[in-house]
Amino acid sequence: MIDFINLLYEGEFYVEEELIIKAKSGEVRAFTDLVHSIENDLYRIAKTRLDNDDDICDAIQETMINAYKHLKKLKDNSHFKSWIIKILINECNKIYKTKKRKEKLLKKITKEENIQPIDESVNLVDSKINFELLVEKLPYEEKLLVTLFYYNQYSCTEISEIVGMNINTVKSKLKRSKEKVKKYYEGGLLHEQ
Amino acid sequence: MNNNYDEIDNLFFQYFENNQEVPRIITNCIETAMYKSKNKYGITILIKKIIITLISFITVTGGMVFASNIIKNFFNNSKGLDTAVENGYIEQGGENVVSNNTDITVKNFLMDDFNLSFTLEMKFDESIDINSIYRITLPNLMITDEQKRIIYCIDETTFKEYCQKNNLNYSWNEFNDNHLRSGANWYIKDKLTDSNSVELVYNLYSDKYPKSKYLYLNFSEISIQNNPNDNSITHTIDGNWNLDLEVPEKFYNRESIIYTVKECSDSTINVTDASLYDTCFKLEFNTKVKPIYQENDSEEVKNEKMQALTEWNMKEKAEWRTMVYDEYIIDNSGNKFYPLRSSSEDSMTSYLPDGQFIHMQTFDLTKYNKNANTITLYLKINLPYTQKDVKIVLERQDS
Repeated sequence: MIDFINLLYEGEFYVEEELIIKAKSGEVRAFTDLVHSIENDLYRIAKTRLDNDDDICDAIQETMINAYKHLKKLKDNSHFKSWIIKILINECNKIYKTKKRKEKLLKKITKEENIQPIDESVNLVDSKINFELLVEKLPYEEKLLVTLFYYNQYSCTEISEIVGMNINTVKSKLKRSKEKVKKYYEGGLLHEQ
Repeated sequence: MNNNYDEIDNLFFQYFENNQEVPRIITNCIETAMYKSKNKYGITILIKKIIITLISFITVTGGMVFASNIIKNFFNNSKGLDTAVENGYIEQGGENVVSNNTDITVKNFLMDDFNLSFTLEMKFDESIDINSIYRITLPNLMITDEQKRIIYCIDETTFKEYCQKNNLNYSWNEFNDNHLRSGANWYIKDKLTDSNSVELVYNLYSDKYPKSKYLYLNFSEISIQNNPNDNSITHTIDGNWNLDLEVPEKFYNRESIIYTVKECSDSTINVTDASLYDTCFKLEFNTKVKPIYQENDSEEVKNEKMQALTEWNMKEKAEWRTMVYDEYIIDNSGNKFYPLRSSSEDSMTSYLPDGQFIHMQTFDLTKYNKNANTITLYLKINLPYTQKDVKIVLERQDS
């Protein structure tokens, strides 16, 4: 019901198709409204890569500028969301890499795959395992796939197109994330008992 | 719970459903992205300059028809705001403040129920090359008034410090008469090389600004980004700028003019607000139409009906037929006025499952437009089972 009301709750928020048509004809306002209509999705996806809201702002703004510039090249309007998400993922990666390069100059860092993985950060000795914590501690790539699958509700085929990954790899990584979370979540509950 | 998924899947779904909130800074940055990008594209700037030149030419020569669709952009893209400014609804700012060799003045400002717009003139010292500036942000800008109402603040630390210092019990996450929910967009309007200064325009908008008599603008950081392809901040200027504005009586004594319904083509329409302001005309009405589904429908039937409605709505909108469309106002002299779309406060339409239908829209008719004692509003309502042309005749209460 909530999704439905949001869709029919207009104002500046017209349906995506109409806004795309207007945006392609040069209406900046329509393009801004279009992005507003999917800001939750963009924020969630950017958050899988960037922790800082300022960085997320920058990524989204650069995404908007690039997307607006190339909007006329989008042939199928129904793919707008997945198309702009692809651009956003690239922008987030750019910012992430720039930051990491700078950090490397200042201090020694661990390898990316070891930064706060579930294995190290979850304290099985303490009380109840928090499901939220488990999700947030997933490595970037798994967190991105999980977000695209459970939050954006894309199919594995769509996800493989967005992230440029083989569909079987998408499926196996999703399965692995789920097993990982399940292991620690259920393990925590057992320990609490 | 979805029966096709196991417990862990459903926990994932639940996790994302419980984490839907988007910080306001994100919404604000989306709102401002394209305004800032205008400075990136020379062609856009060139077109703007041509339009401004054309307007000046028309004003000087006189005797020419002023094209009604040229918006001057005093502050934002609202024709209503422009009309107000043209008729003197604008005020010069106060004294300048210099901190860390950066001299800032509020050049002009405007405040009404829905808008607070101002232009900052920022003079930098020679170390800053204004021609290289791509973007300026004031990350901890805070605007308060003499009643200690927080008109605008996007930095939580600044907010909390202010509340602590003034013994205020405001909540960052709660909006009310003391902590207003303000949207904002800002952009560089002009660069003046002679004085090495930049004009930065801010447009704040809300559904109801108070009748403040003094406004206090405070910030201690100016972030400058030069390279459009590099997100890092080129310069940060730290300082302390406290700009005080005395709000003129024409702003704080503003009154709206109420209109009443003289005639309506549809007796089920209930006009709840029809008011004329300095910068716009605001209309709100509600009506009852066929419910989307019945309360005793099963979940499956409800979902099906919603889905069918959504698909219908999308098809209609592809043909430019939104739930309310083709709306305009005609005054006594036959002049037409159109919907404003300069901010999210300008328009709202909702169709609820129980059949309640509510519409609000502002138009570019203002108190400064004459011949508006009686106005006629036309619009089309477009819903499944309900398509109608609506005509509402409204009369000024004080005429």
